[in-house]
Amino acid sequence: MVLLRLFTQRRWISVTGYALFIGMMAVGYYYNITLVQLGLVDLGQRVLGLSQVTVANYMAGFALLTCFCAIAFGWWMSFSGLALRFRRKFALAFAVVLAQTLLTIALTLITNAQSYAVWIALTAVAIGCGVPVTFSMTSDLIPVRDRGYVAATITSIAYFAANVIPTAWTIEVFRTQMLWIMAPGALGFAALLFGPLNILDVLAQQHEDPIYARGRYVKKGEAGRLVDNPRIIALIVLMFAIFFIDSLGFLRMTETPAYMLNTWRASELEPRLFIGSVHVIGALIAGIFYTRMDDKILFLWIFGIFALVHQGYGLQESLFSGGDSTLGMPMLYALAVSMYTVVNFAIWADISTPGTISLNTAIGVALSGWTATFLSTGLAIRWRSAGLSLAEHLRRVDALAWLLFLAVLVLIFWPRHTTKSQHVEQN
Amino acid sequence: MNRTYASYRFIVLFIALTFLLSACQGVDSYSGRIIFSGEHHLRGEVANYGDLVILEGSVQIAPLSRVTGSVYMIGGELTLFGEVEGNLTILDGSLTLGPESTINGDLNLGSSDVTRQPGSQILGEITEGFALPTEWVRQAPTLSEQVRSFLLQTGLMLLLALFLRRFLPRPLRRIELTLIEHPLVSVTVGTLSAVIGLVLFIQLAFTVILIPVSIAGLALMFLLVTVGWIAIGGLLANAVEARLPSRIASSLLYLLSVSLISLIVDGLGYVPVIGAPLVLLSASAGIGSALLTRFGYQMYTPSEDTDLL
Repeated sequence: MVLLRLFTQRRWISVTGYALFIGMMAVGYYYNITLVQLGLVDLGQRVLGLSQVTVANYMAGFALLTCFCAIAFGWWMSFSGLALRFRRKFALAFAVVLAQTLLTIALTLITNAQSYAVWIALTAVAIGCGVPVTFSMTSDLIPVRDRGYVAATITSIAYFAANVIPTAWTIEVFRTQMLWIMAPGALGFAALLFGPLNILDVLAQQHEDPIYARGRYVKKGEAGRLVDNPRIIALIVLMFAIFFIDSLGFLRMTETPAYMLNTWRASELEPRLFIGSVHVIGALIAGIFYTRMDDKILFLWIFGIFALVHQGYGLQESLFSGGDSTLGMPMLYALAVSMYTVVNFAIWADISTPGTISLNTAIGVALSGWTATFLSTGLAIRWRSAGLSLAEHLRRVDALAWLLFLAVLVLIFWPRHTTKSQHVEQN
Repeated sequence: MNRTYASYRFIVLFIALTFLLSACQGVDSYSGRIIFSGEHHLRGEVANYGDLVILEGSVQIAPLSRVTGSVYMIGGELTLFGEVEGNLTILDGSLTLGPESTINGDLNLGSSDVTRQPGSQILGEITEGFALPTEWVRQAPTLSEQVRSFLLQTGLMLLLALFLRRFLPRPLRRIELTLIEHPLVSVTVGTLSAVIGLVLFIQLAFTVILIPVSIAGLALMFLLVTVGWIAIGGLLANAVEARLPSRIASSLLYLLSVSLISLIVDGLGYVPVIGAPLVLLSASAGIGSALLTRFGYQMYTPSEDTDLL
């Protein structure tokens, strides 16, 4: 690990860069999976009394707007050269954190559907700008060799906290928690930005160091631009498929008390502690896989585990409909989710250079993550309004999951015939 | 065999297995419900389709509601006001039969508290002191049984160790090298493979037709774990041999080391708290190193800069 070398060389500012990045990303992701994904639904349905379909439509709109803002902002960052200016990026990140803190405070002002829509739109803009800004700091703060481990740490912290800390999935609980975390965070950003320490000046030079600069999958001489790089297209498709399957299956399960009350939403701490711990183990496994093994194997594992999980849920629904859920399936689910989250945190920087990371990340996260969420939400609503039973819903998700697993399997293992010139080149 | 042809065959075989696995969801021949905890009030004309298994928690079946199968109670509480079409078997827990409750089959009572209100009907037989057949209940093994089991386990391990050393020394050496050079990756791959493998083989068993595959898979996992322990034994033998002043026959040292590993694995089972995790860790390392080296047929080299797709 490069971090250990930095410790022995007493490069404390570089070590601080790790802590800064991990803290920023973990809190940002925690905010996303708790307050945004769960809290907004609770606010719309329970507090404002909006119908499930209306809230789902708002959430789909939120996903689309975030997607648009992220791509537009990422594009601007790359082409204006902002992606290479660390201090400017840090100032932007501070602005995003400040905006999100103020928006979190303003949650109590939402009393009707209009103010709910305005809040969602403003948050979409903040997150849309935040994604390319924060992700692009990977090439400033985290050496290439440590990206898998750092992504694993971020995922572990965010998911462990999200499972263990919340006592209830309500907007009030999430708001209080986030304010306790974000307010000091914003102050910390301000101190670094306007304080006397020269930490940012040192960190701003790091992207020029070869151990930070060029992503693991960018070959020498490549600009790492989207048009030059077919790998990003394959990645977007793969990540899209993972996000889509996860979201489509989990959306319906969150509405099924039998699957949630003894597991993710258990009033006792033990089941949530177990799921949180599995998230940590899954993230660590993915971190090691990402660093030490072929990515193809990692993707195969993720798709395979998702297929097994949905197979398990479908089987349970067919045979033991209405019974309680054990922790076996959530355990596999947590493993798969942690593994793909690690990939999502690490891979975009590794197919980019410091100059292209903003755009690549924005396109990658926006097209795979937010578009998948938008489409899976839309499809789930469509299926529900068509009166599709839970068993049938899970069976379809399972079929899709197996199909995608097979597609990845064929893509990876299908023999490729090398041309004569390639053969000569290889030899 | 041509490698390309082998790849095609592998893909076709996997697709066939996957379709068979997916088919198990279409089975509607059995249905039931398992209650693990919490309070459950079952209402409606049919309160539960098929069998009802209560492990813990509290269940109430409303008047005029029926369970179409049998009820099995391992623990918890059951208050029956409605009807059970099959048998009601209670190993432990408490049962209350309401005034209009009906059990169409037998009532089998174990160590349970039963409160029966006037008007409740049991159409079958009542058996008291019901317990699982003694052969189903696992008794603590005696010392001689434990010794016999250990000797059998060690004997089989030694036989396998001798076979591998005699006929497959290179694959075994690759597994040993991977264990010593990449322990973290070995444990990681092994842990994930073991967990997912177990789930997969259990799900395969639901298809009925794939039960032999499930059994073969579990046997393979067991074999990989044993090979891993043998590899650890081999490493121990090498380490000891390098430090010994006088030469001992390496085969003897090897067999002694493998026996020692067998003894340690067996002994760790009796160590509280850390014993079981250490056994699992070593088992995972064995599975992982075997898989990383493709069962010993190629050296594992960590990926530094791999191409995606």
